[in-house]
Amino acid sequence: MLIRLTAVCVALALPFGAIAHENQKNPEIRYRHAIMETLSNQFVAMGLILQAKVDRPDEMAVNARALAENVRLIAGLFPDNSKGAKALPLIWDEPEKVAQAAQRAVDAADALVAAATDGNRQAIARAFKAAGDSCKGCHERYKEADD
Amino acid sequence: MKTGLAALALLLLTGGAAPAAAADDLLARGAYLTAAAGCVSCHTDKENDGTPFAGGHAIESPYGIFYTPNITPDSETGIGGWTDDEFLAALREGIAPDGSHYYPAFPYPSYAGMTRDDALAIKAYLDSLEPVRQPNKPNELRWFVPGRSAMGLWKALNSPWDYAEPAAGLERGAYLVRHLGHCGECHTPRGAGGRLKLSQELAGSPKTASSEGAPAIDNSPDGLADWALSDIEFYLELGMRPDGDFSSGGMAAVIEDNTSQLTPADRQAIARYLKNLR
Ligand code: HEC
Ligand code: HEC
Ligand code: HEC
Repeated sequence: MLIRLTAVCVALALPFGAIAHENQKNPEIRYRHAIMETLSNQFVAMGLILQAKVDRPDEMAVNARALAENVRLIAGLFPDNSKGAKALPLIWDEPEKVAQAAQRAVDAADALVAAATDGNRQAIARAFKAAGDSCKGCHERYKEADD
Repeated sequence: MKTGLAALALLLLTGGAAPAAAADDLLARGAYLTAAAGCVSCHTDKENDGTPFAGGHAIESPYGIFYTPNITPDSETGIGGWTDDEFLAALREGIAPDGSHYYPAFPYPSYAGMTRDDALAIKAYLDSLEPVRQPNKPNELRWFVPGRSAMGLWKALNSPWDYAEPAAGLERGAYLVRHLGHCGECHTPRGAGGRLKLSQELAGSPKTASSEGAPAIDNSPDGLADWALSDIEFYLELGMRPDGDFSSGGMAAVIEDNTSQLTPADRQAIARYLKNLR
C-alpha cells in the first residue's frame, strides 16, 4: 500500500503523469473504464447480498442479470483508437484470445444468472467466484498491475 | 474442533466401533488438513494440467527454479513406503530419508509447528491417493546457491520460525495461519538469509524482480485495518476484496486450494488472528 502510494506520487511528479492524464481524456478509454467500474460495482453489490450484510436476497438475480448484460460489452471495449491507460499492448495483438477471454466472462455471468435464479447459497457462491475469476483471468494477461 | 475430531477418532478406535468408520474419519481429517496446509498448490503442475500431488510445479525464486517432487504414494517416483518417522522428519524438519536436507522452498520451517497427529493424518490421506508414476525433475539452482549439505547449517541458525505463544483465544487462528497455512512465508518480510522477521509478522513483503511480493495483512493501516472480520472471511472464501477486485497470483491459489475449503469457523479463526496483529 505504502509502496503503491509512493509509486503514485512519483508518477505524478514525472512527465508520465501528463501522459496518463491525456489518456483519461480519450472518451473511448473513459467509456471502457466506466463499463469496467460498473461491472466491478455489480460485484460489490452482490457481495453485500451474499454476505447478508444487506437483506435483499431477491436482488441477487437482478444484479446478476445486469452483470450478464454489461459483460457482453467487453469484447467491444478495445477499439484501435483506445490504446493506452492500463491496457497492455498485447490486447491489440491477439484479438482471438481476447475474444475468448471476453466470452468466458459472458459464460460465467450467464451461469451466475442461472444460479442466482434458482440456486442455493453455495451454488451462487461458486458461480460468483467463477465469474470473478473470469475477470481476473483477463486482467492477469492484459492489464498492467496496480503498483 | 481439532481436539473434538481427534477425540472422536479416539472414541471410534477404542469404543469398538467399526474400524472402517475410524479409517474414513482419519482420511476425512487428513484431506481437510492437507487443504488447510496448501500442499496441492505447490505439488501440482497446474500449468500443464498435472495430476494433483504428482509434483513438477516450477517455483521460481531468487535462487533459481525448484521443481516440486511427486508426493503420491508411488513407491519408485513418489513417497510410497515412507515410514511415519521419515514423513515427519521431512515435513517438520526438512530432512530427507537419506539424511540430506531440503531447501526451505519447502516451507518446513512453518510446518514444524504442526502436531504429530495432524501430520500423520495428512500422510494417511496422501497414502490413500492413487499412486502416480512420474519421476522428479532436478532443481535448476543458480551457481551461487549452496548445496543441500549447507542447509544443515542454515537450519541450525534459522529453522523453525520461533513464534511466541499466541494470545489466549487465538490459538486455532495462530495454528492455521502460522503453521498449516504458512501465510508468513509470503506475507512476512524476510531478513538476512531468508529468515522471517517475526517482529513484523504479516507486515507485507516487497515486490522484487523474482517475487510478486505480498501485501500487509496485519491490522495496520497498510494492512487490514479497514476490513471488517466478515470482509476477511468473505475474501478467504470467495476471493473478492471489499472494493470488488478479485485476488490474483499466488493468493488466488491459496484461496482456491486452501481457505475456500475450510469451515466457516476456521476462516473466522484466521480473520480474528489477523485483526489482532498489531
Ligand atoms: C477481455 C479482457 C477483460 C475482461 C474479461 C474483463 N476485463 Fe476489466 N479490464 C481489462 C483491461 C485490459 C483493463 C485496463 C483498461 C484500461 O486501463 O484502460 C481493465 C480494467 C478494469 C477495471 C479498472 C478500470 C479503471 O477505472 O481503471 C475494473 C474495475 C475492471 N476491469 C473490472 C472488471 C470486471 C468486474 C470484469 C468481469 C466482469 C472484467 N473487468 C472483465 C480487461 C478485461
Ligand atoms: C511452497 C511450496 C510447498 C508447499 C506448500 C509444500 N511443499 Fe512439499 N516440497 C516443496 C519443495 C520445493 C520440495 C523439495 C525441496 C528440495 O528440493 O529440497 C518439497 C518436498 C516435499 C517432500 C519430500 C519429497 C521427496 O521425494 O523427497 C515431501 C514429503 C513434501 N514436500 C510434502 C509436502 C506436504 C505433505 C505438504 C503440505 C503439508 C507440502 N509438501 C507443502 C514445496 C512445497
Ligand atoms: C504464495 C504466497 C502467499 C501465501 C502462502 C498467502 N498469501 Fe495472501 N496474498 C498473497 C498475494 C500475492 C496477495 C495479493 C493478491 C492480489 O493482489 O490480488 C495476497 C493477498 C491477501 C489478502 C488481501 C490483502 C489485500 O490488501 O488485498 C489477504 C487477506 C490474505 N492474502 C490472507 C492470507 C492468509 C490468511 C494466508 C494463509 C492462509 C495467505 N494470505 C497466504 C500471497 C500469499
